[in-house]
Amino acid sequence: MLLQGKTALVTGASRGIGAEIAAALASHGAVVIVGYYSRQDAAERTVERIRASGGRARAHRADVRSASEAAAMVEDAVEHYGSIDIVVNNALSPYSFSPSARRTAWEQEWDDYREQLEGSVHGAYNVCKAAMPHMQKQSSGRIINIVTNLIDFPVVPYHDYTTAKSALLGYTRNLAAELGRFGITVNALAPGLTQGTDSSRDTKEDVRRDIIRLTPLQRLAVPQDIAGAAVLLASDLAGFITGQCLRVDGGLVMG
Amino acid sequence: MRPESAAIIRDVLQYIERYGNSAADSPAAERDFGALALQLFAFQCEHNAAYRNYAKIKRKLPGQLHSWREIPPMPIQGFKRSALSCEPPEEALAVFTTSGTTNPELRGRQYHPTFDVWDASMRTGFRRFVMGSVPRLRTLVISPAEDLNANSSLSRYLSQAIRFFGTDGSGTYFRHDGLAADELIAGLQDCERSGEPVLLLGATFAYVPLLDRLQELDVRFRLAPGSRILDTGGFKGQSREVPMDWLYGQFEERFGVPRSGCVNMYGMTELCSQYYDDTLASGKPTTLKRGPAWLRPLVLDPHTLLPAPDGQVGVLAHIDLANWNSCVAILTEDLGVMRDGGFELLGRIGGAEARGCSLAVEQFIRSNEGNA
Amino acid sequence: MTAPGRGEGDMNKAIKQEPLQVQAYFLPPGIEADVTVAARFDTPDGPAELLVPALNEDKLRSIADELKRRREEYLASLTTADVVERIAAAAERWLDPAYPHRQLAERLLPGLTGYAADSIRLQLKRYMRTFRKKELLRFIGEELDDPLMLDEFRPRKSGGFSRAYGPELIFHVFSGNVPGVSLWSLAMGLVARSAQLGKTSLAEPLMAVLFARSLAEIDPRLAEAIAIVPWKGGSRELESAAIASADAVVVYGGGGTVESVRAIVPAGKRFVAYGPKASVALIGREALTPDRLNGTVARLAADIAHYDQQSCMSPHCVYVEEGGSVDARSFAAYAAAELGRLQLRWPRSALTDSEAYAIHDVRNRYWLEEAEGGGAAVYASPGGTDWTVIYRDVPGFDVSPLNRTLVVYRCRSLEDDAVPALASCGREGLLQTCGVAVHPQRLFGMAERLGRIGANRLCPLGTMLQAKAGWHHDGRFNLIDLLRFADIERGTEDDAEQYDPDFE
Repeated sequence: MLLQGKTALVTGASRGIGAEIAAALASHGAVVIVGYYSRQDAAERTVERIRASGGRARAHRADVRSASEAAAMVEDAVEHYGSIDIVVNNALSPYSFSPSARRTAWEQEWDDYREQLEGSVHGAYNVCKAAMPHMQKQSSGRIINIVTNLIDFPVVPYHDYTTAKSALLGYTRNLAAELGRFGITVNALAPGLTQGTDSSRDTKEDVRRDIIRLTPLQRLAVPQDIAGAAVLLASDLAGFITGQCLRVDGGLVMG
Repeated sequence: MRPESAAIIRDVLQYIERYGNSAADSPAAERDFGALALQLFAFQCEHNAAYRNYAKIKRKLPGQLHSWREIPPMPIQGFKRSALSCEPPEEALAVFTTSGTTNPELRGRQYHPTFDVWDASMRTGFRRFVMGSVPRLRTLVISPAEDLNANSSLSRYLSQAIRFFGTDGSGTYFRHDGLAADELIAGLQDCERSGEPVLLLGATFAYVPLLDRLQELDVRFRLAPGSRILDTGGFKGQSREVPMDWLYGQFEERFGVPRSGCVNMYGMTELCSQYYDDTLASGKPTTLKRGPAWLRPLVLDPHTLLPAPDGQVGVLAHIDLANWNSCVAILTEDLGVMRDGGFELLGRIGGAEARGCSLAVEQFIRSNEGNA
Repeated sequence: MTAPGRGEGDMNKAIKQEPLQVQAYFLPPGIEADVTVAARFDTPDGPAELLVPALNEDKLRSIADELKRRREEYLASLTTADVVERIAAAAERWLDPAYPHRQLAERLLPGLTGYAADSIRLQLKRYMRTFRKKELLRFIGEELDDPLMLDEFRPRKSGGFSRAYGPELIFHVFSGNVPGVSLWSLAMGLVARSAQLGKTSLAEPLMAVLFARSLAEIDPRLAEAIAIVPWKGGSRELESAAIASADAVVVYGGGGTVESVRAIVPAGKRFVAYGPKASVALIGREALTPDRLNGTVARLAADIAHYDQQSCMSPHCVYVEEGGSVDARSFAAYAAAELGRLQLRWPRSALTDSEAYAIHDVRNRYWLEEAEGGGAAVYASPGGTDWTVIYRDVPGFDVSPLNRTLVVYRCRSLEDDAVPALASCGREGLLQTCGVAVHPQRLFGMAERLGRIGANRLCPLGTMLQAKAGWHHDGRFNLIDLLRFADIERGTEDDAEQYDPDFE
């Protein structure tokens, strides 16, 4: 039980990678706030799944792009569990990874970028801002921002999405530099293409095959891979790791 | 009273009734104790904001606990700061306050919306540890009872002892102007003559001047076999300090009550139940304190405030199911050690002295008082 | 009964190491004493034992007599320059990392005092530098316009001549909270050309002994006028005997110690007490800019961590002004995190049950206030009592239970809020060092206000435990308080001329 007695908030935790991270944190003893925006049914399923295996969780609806809603979600966690130890910023504006349907650079509108920046960066910013005082209070905290390995290796150039995630990585490193003095670590997790998630459903077989061919571990990521890395970064094992971007992509990107 | 309170009271009374006489800890008593303690804690967190907020800061809210041993004990200084009551404090039937300071603002307060649980606890514990199989005794009380102090848990305890267990000739001998020693002596002589066993009750420090007086008058009693003496609370600077062995020796010499007929009670305003030593119940003199099944001590490591292993000296905390309206767990400033299922009381934990020339708390307080 | 096999016996022997025996006393030659083991403690090289002499009134009196005799024979005839030279030479040895006595101190003190080895090493080194010749000369020059007054009658600017005399024998009562705190007092006593009888605390009896040995290496005859003996404080018999033999008494310690000694010093005997004092830190908003913040917090935290706040120069609390890049609340969080880091670097000593509980008690008090919605917050090490920072939103002053327990008071203005909060402590004569971090334009105004209420020393954060040569210890002199002066009044020397038969 690496996370016994800890309280974790995972945004975008109703489905996919977020849900898997929530379940993994709970299985290591953390109490988890399952943050969601639109899919209440899925969020409830995540909570049920955690409870069924003996963990503790509660769902909380919030649009993290709204400062007040993000703050209310953090306060809800503190009210119920005394404080907040772990934040995983996984929420983003809806996005489909379809190599064929994606917009090319000359088709992208600035609003596309704006939307992704709102979801990825503004959302993470709002949640972190609300969580910081509580983490300061304990001289400890773990912030984990989910980015992508497309930042390093744009196999498919999803301009708006990857640009926003790059910004989130910049935010992560600056936050790490500032919050280290309070004993708070801030890291990014960069999954490769992850199978079995709604977002990756439209990624065609040929792209998958190409990625697998270039990946030393010879497969795509599954949500459990990402969740395992999240548990590591959330735990005391990673107490002296901050400002890093941990790629969980089977070695596709190195360095 | 809110329905949830009534329901909790019902549950506690049921527990007291069920396990009131169980001498040893059964697994069932332990299991039910744990469940009820956690239930009480959840109830108190729901209706007592001060306790809930404290528990929240300590990150020990009801949902976060696995065992009753993890319930955050309320430090007794908390009883001085806030009205720790689930029911509205202003509707309380009585408020018991701690002694020891002249400023009523600085006294610890325990609110009693009803005495149902308090009485059941007192009566059941008293029967087990003081009366045994004897239903009633002529009970003589030498410390202020309820009529003189409506805000003292000890006073109520003494008065209830007479009500629950006293015979007709029982009475209180402490008046507005102090102990009515002559009346008490007459009463004791009466008992001695009639051969009726006596139960003497009072604060530990109240016996010292009484024994001095008896020595002055050169009076000795041979009280009837089966007579008992209960003392409680220690000396608290109210009388000169004497060793307990001397006191018990005097009880035998002046009253004819042997050590095996004496019992020491340990109670606090912040608790609704009492601990006793097992001397009367077991017939074997001991200073180890035991509680009834709904009152359990924990010895906490002074460094971590987590439960310490048996045999290690630490700070005492108590979990008292009868504290349904305030805080089910309290943290005292007393030192103790667990042994053979009971605990030895080792006095108050001392203040820390600075090791050298840095200003110490005590010194600063002294110099400020000198100023005032 | 079967005898243990050879191998087994050997193994037991190997495990059971003979303790290192350390003489925790220093006596003049010719004085013999029975020795007993007073304390056992651990060192990195195995267990050690402190040996102390068995003392009684007569023994102590004979030690004192011997000290006085040897002083008369030698020390009294040395000049100020001689004495300074010798003390500085001893200190120079200590500034060599390979010096055996220094290495011994570095090995023994951590186990003996509980303080972190690296912290002791650092602090001892810094401390020894204050005994360099230049520092000693600065010190004497600070108090005596003409240091040669300690050697002979010297002309005065106002005419006439004066000479200073030190006591024949000084009896020191040292405290054990800060290693080596005794050395300065010994050095001053030697400069005054007095024999030294030092009573050390069993909490730290070593440094005085080791330094006396260093002096003996430089000049054995000088060191013959020094005796260092530990005994448990409060022994009326021994203390009275020592006081009767001495003509000056110097006491370091808490209120109880100072008062108990003061009570038995006859009126008219020179008595100098360094009693209990509290120190604080004051941080202006200008020290809380993003670029200054890290340094400010680190320096304050070091002042808290060294010697676990047990020095009277260690801050009990800090006043943090509003308007910087962090508010006082975040400052408290930051300081707590810094103390957490220092716990890895300089671990806090183990505490007694009472010391630990005192910290929990204070934490609980402010947790309860926080729970009530009051303006307090507690930043505490998880589990034990390694560090505690308490934030309070109204300036005040409370004595810390120490051992790395810091109160952070938020204030709108240091001048208007912090100084008044300290006034009553100052008026009681209990306020000593103020570590300050403020703009130059504010410094003198602050100093004026703090000085007026009784503060004794303003210094930079991070150096609170390292008083500089020449400081007015607890607001007084170091040397002058020990001396008496003899004057040849103006005109006397002229008048004397007429008694020269050759006078016209």
